[in-house]
Amino acid sequence: MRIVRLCIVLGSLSLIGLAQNQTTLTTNPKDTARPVSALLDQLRKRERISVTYEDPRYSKRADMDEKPAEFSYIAEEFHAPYDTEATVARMLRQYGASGGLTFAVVQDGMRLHVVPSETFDSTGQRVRQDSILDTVISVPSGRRTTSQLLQLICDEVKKETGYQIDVGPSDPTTTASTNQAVDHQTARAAIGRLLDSLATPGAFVWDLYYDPADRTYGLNFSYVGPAAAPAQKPVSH
Amino acid sequence: MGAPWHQTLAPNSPPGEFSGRVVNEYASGTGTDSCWFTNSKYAPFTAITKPGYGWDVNGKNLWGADFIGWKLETVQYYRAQNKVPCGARFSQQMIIDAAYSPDNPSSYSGPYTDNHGVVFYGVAYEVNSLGGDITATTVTSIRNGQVATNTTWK
Repeated sequence: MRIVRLCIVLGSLSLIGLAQNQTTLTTNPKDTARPVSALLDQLRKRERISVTYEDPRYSKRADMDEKPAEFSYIAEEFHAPYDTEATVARMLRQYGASGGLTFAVVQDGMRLHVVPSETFDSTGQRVRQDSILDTVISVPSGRRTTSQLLQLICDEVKKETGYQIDVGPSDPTTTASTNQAVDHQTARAAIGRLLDSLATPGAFVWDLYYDPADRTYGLNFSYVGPAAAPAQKPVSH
Repeated sequence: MGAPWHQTLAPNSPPGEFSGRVVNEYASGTGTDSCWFTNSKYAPFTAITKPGYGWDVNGKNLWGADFIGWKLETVQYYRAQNKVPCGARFSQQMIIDAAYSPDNPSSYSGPYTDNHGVVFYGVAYEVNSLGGDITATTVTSIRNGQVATNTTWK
């Protein structure tokens, strides 16, 4: 009887321990029609993971997901890069199992990328869709600003696919010069390389949003690097 | 990219007092964006875009340009979506690096990390209020209450 009681007590303690370490993220449909992006953004802020997001090309705004989403994890799941990828993949599987569209997660250098695997066609059927940033592009080297290079990358994607990508107000590029060329790289790799020349590698990530009413993409950036929050305490010498 | 703003550090006494030092920007607090809507292809514009970015202070105590405000494409988008008049507001914490490290006076704070991962000590000397507004016919860039309207920025 004592052994049984002890097991119950220990079991309860471990459950309490798990509950204490577990973090649950939730999205509010009033705040977003992109629950996967919203969950990833919370992960970036809490765990400082370098992960990008790309919208499916929805046929209409009504196809965008305005249901709340939730994801629970424990911080230890982000201790190693492989674990981080597995945890993001688990989040995407859970989202898919709840009726959401299918996304995939791929690693490329310092960043993880969450990319669409499917969307809804005009009749509401699920159809396969790949990432627009898989598009292979080239930009010859030349003296230009980092801002101009980002625009050229977007222009090349439009040439290849017909889809316009407009850079959003969170654009971190500047008037600083660069000679960087893009030689038969994916647009994803080209954007990542440009961002890594601006800051600590992996510090800038993006959300590529698609507006089906406008039929164009908006490229948005976030910062997850070490300069995110300056320390404010005075130093004694 | 917004409008280019150029700043002079004060007091400029002796002249060029801050020459050779670096001022870095950091996010501060939470901003607002009244242009944004749930399905928008742009994320809310509620913070500075380059945390840790540094500008060199020149021999006349000048630094910049700091581009503040909306890009042309975003202006066109929010107008087309009938979201104007609208605007964004957020804060920018400025930090100037230590003059003669490692002989830092005790008033210096930190450590701070710049956008390339370099750690330094410095002085958090001001918080600026930044933003921009869009109407059907005008675009403004705002810095600490000063407003630039309808210039040629992109």
